[in-house]
Amino acid sequence: MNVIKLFAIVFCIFLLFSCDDISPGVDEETIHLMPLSPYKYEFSNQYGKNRIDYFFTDNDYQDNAGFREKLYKSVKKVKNEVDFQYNLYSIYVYKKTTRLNENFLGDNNDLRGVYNNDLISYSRWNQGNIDIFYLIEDGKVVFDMIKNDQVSPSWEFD
Amino acid sequence: MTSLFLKGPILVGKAKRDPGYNFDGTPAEDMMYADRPSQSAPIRSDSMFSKSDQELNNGMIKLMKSLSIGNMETVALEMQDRFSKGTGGVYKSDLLDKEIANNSAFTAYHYAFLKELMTKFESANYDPKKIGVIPMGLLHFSSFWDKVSGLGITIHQVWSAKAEIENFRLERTDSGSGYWMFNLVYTFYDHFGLDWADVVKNGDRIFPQYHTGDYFKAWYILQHYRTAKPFITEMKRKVFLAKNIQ
Repeated sequence: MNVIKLFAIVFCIFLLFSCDDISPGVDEETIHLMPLSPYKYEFSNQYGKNRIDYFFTDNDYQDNAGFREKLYKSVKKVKNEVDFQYNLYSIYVYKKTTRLNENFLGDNNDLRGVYNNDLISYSRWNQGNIDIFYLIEDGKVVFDMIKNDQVSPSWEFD
Repeated sequence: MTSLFLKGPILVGKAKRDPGYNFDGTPAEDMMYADRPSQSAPIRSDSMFSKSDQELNNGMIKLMKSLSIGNMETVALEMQDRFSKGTGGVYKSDLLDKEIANNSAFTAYHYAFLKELMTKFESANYDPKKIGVIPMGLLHFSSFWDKVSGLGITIHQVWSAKAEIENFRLERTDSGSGYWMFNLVYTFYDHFGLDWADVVKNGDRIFPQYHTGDYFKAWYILQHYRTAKPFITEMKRKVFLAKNIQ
């Protein structure tokens, strides 16, 4: 009987550790991106179907290679879960603030232009190929992840 | 002896967004009009909102005059007039083209693009049709001088751009030596209009005039709540390039 109890305890501990290992986006290699309202916006134009996904994160923008690499991995992970090939597929990542968080209920128009200073990154896949990955600080594009280079002089993301 | 002439234009550079559209493909808010955007609800309770069209236009004219001088004041007032009359379409001006040609921001932008272009041009064995389309950055006018002389208020940051090769000529001997020459033609596009982000950013400005922020609101109200219409500003700059091939 004790052997069975011991086995059950060991099995439960094993399950706990296993669950922790497969939790999405909490490992040290990535940054936890949480869906931000309106979560997803799809629209069509003459070139085809387009999509925008919105996220927020607890992290502030950090000007270091480690942060950039983690953010890049996290955003790519999101993209890899999208199986449809859009004409343009964009991902906006904002930093969590008192207004932009899990309680925010705005749509894409409520976000556009109003919260540019809270943007951390904007990335875009054009016909399935990544062609933009800008890191943004105080509303200005400061790093180009595609070129892996600082943007100087920085320019306003609008 | 090899001799090649291509009239063009051959597209060799393009910005990552088109005139009138955001990077993500949605229509640009600063090109919309009479649309009463939901995010601009706070302006409906602003004291500027009850002003007449004439009062708002007068405010916008004061804004243009306070942030431009000389030829650029002429351009700024022409643009304001076109905007208030609701003409729309595409605005072009030789004065504006000349102003950009002489601007140090353009010179730096040109040399950065030229460096990339020459690398690809040489790799393509001097065949402009094999260069491909190089992604272009966005030219912006943010120096103190630009802010007071007119490029800041009329353009500030171009929305889109393209670069084309015209009148290309290549002459080469069998040994490979010779020369090439062509015109590199830049076309820049901007929106003469405001989005809500512009009001968020400039609505409280008290420089260079105490009411500068109000004049930005006047511009926004005229466009999004009255009958004024934004338009595309198109600017061109042609650069002649030639080099011997050894």
